[in-house]
Amino acid sequence: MTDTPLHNLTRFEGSRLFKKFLTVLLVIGIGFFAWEMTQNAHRAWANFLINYFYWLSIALFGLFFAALQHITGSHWSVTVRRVAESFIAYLPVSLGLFVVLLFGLPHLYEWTHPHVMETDPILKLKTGYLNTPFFIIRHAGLYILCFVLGGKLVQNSLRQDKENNAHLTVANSRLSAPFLLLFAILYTLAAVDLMMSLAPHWFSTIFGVYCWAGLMYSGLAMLALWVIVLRKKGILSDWVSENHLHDIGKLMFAFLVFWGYIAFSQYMLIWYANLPEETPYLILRTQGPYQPISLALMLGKFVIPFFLLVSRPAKRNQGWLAFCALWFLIAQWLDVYWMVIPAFFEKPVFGMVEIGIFLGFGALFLWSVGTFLRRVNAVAIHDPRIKSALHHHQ
Amino acid sequence: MSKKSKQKATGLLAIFENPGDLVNAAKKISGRMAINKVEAYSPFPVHGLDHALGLKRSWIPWVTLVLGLAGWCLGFILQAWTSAVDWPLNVGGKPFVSWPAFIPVTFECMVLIGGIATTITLFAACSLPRFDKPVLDHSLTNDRFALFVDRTDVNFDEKRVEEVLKETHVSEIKNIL
Amino acid sequence: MEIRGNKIITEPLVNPEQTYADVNADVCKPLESFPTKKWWVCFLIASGSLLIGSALATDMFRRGLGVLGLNQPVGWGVFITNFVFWIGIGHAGTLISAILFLFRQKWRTAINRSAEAMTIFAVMTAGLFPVIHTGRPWYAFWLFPYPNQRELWVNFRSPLVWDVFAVSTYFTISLLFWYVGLVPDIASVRDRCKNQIRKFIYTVLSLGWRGEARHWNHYEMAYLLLAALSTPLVLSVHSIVSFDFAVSILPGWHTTIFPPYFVAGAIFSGFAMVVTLLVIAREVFNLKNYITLYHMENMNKIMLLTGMLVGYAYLMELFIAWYSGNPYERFIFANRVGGPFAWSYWIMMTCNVIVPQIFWVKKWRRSIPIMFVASLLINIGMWFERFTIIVTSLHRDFLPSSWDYYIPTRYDWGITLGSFGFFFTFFLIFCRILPTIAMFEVKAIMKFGKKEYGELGD
Repeated sequence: MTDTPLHNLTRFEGSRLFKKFLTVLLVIGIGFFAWEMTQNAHRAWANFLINYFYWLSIALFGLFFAALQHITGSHWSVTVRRVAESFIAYLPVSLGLFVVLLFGLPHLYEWTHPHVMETDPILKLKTGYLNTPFFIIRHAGLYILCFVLGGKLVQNSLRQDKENNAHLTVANSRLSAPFLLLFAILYTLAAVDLMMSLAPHWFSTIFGVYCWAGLMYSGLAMLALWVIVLRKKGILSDWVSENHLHDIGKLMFAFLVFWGYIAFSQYMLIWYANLPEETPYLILRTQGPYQPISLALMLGKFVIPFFLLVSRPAKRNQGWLAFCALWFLIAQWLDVYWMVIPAFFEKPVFGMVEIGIFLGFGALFLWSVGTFLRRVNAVAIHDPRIKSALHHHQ
Repeated sequence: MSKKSKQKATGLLAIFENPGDLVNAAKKISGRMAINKVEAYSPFPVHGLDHALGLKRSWIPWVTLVLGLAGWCLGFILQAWTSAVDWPLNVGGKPFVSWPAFIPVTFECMVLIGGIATTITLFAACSLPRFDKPVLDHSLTNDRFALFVDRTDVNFDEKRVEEVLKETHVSEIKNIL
Repeated sequence: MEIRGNKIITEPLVNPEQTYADVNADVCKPLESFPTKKWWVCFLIASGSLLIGSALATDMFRRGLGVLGLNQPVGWGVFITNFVFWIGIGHAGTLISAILFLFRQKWRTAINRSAEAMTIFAVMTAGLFPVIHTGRPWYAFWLFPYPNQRELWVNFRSPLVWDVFAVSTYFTISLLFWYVGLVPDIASVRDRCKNQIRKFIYTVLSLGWRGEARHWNHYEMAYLLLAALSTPLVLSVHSIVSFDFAVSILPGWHTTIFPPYFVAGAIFSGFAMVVTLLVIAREVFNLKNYITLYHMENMNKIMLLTGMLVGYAYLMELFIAWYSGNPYERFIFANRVGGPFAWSYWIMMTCNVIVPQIFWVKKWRRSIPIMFVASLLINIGMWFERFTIIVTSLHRDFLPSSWDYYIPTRYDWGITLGSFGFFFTFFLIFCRILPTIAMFEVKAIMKFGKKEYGELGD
């Protein structure tokens, strides 16, 4: 009873069919992107940006979560931490996609055009920040942080699987503090750069927090989904009990409420003050053709999932939790869509292109994380807190 | 009168020094011997005891949920009615039913009514306040744990109960008359 | 964290030699003995300050609000600063009792009772200020929506009305939560009483609690639910306080980060106050076996975290003020950092962002003198944060001809002193009549007597 179920730990192996399926999705994604480039480059790049930011946030969540668990010395989360850590595998892919994104900057951001910056009296004042080289430096900073400190964090965790050394846990909890500190700054800047500067006149001090709320929202859902899949495959079934699922479910619920709180704060304050320099951003999104999207966001990202997940059995039932996690992931996509698309089109655009590009990115994410998990244990088997995590009750 | 006699339950009070022993004894008495009129006393909540005594999960969350939602609706209706129906007043060009401005008070009403309801329900569910039940032993709110076995239970057999209790690490058995 | 072999050894939450009976004996001791000299000294200072404050407040009501330093353009000053400050102090109590409970942070048990008491008294203190600030406190009932002859209702679109709801809900729920937590402990005190009058009082307060298993069953659930309700409540209260400023169109007040920023600041200042109080309480009431250095260290860690959260908000405000390109936004922040009230801004920055950085060092996190000084500095810094936000945004308004400097008078300072007296008087009385540590919760996390746990028979 006090031993860890080591004997049972098998490696993750995606089925052949699934791999083929991912390849097909990737081809679909690339195909749609390429085709849309010939039709409407703005739409193609807008979708590229949506998915770039969406999947990057989920991958970053993995490191953020791992660091958070280290710094708080959590016991319950030890058995699911490796799954979160595995999200780092998408970051190199994401870096490649960022290089692709650079080609789309002129299509996406008004501030990349020098004549706009020179003629607009307000944007002129922002030239020191909103320029392409500085944009690249800031974003590269985020990747460097994740590869250096984040990479070390994951590396230590993997080393512990072999070395059975508790000092690595201490090292990681030390690493986590500077990681989280720098992460808060760099992710905020990424949110400002990628999302807020789409409307370069607009500004909101809470915006970084808003995007971080989305990161937690979708990241926890992705974590829940992976954990449930690995449980179903029998890999984590001895390690992760309903109590662990319940805790992930509670966190999902907490961040659902947190997102609602932040979104309301931002919306209400801008609505109330109704200042001409802030309010157009929301008028565009909450009135006219985009009103249904805003309503769908409020209902779909907050009200409905609140009731889906409020009860205790909902968080403990694996199937239901997986359903909710999928719901969360779709709702988060809608949120990013809500931030991006109104900057380009007078009316909402939605079709096969949106779905196709989303699936293509998703395939890349699943492929990279799956490959990573194939090579490492799905659980940090020698973490000094593992036993207490296995005995986790309510 | 009949109520009074019902309160004066008599039986055996087994006192333990250790929460684990209490749980074991409760399992034996309530589970194996199928005595239903059992009550356990402890200075702090002991985990596993609810299970040993066959207690179900508390139903209080339902009250909180329903009354919390009622508070939410009530709070919103109060504001909408006063601002848009009873005396519509244009303030700062905002709509009469300015829902974003109503959310804070609506939320507070939900928490206020939900919280008060939870507290009242808790005491109602425990039938407190109630002062006529005797304190069986002063150490039960301090450092000891006890199991009370009611004499009126159909399966009560004093000798058998005492025997079973003695198998556990009981430190004292009191006869409550 | 200490490592032995491949195990991380965690510090015990309670001195492992303590027994259950020790907990009751130690915690109830101050209740059952005549107050010490230390206590009387504290009490006389506190009630003396309260007296000064009350006298000045009475005089102010008689003469009118003109005796304060308020004038055009600074119409909100020290009193509103105090209101926000005291509300903020309360937040740590709810954080410890509710949020840490939901996060299963067992170390909260030793400190939650006194922190909750602090919440209640801080909210009471805070509630005084809007009422005093009206100048005519006898009309305070106008704040509530009640059916009246003029058929007028309050304006529900006003954040000041939201405040009335938020603060009164917060007070009510905190009081209920506190009382629910107290019931089993009052029963413990009752069962120790020898004096009949005392026994009667504690019996009534305990509602006849006997610790029955089926009561504990409901009790734990209700406690969880109250914690679950208090958690968003505590976020909402300071958010609504921040809305008082943020729904306006005044540069420096109107900014979207205010709600989470105020909440972080509230928790920050509240923890500083808890540390200040506990450093004294564990000394005066000899509770070092229960409120250990480990507890103090954890609180210092939270101060480090929340200090950086407010630091993030300060930087974000500065950055976005620049990024906005709005000349008014840019001016108000330049004025904060380098204007006539720059001293206040830099007190805030130093105390709130720089001072907590000392807690990176484990040795300093565990040093009582260092944390005591730091906690006092943080309290000062957080007071000046509110002062900075309120005053610097007002004193140079859109019309340069009305620009002015704000100097609080002795009425402002005297009544502020009185508020501290009010708070500490209540707190000192609380320490005398109710158990300052949640005894039943401490027992539930003690290792003592639970050797067979987890391997129960059958």
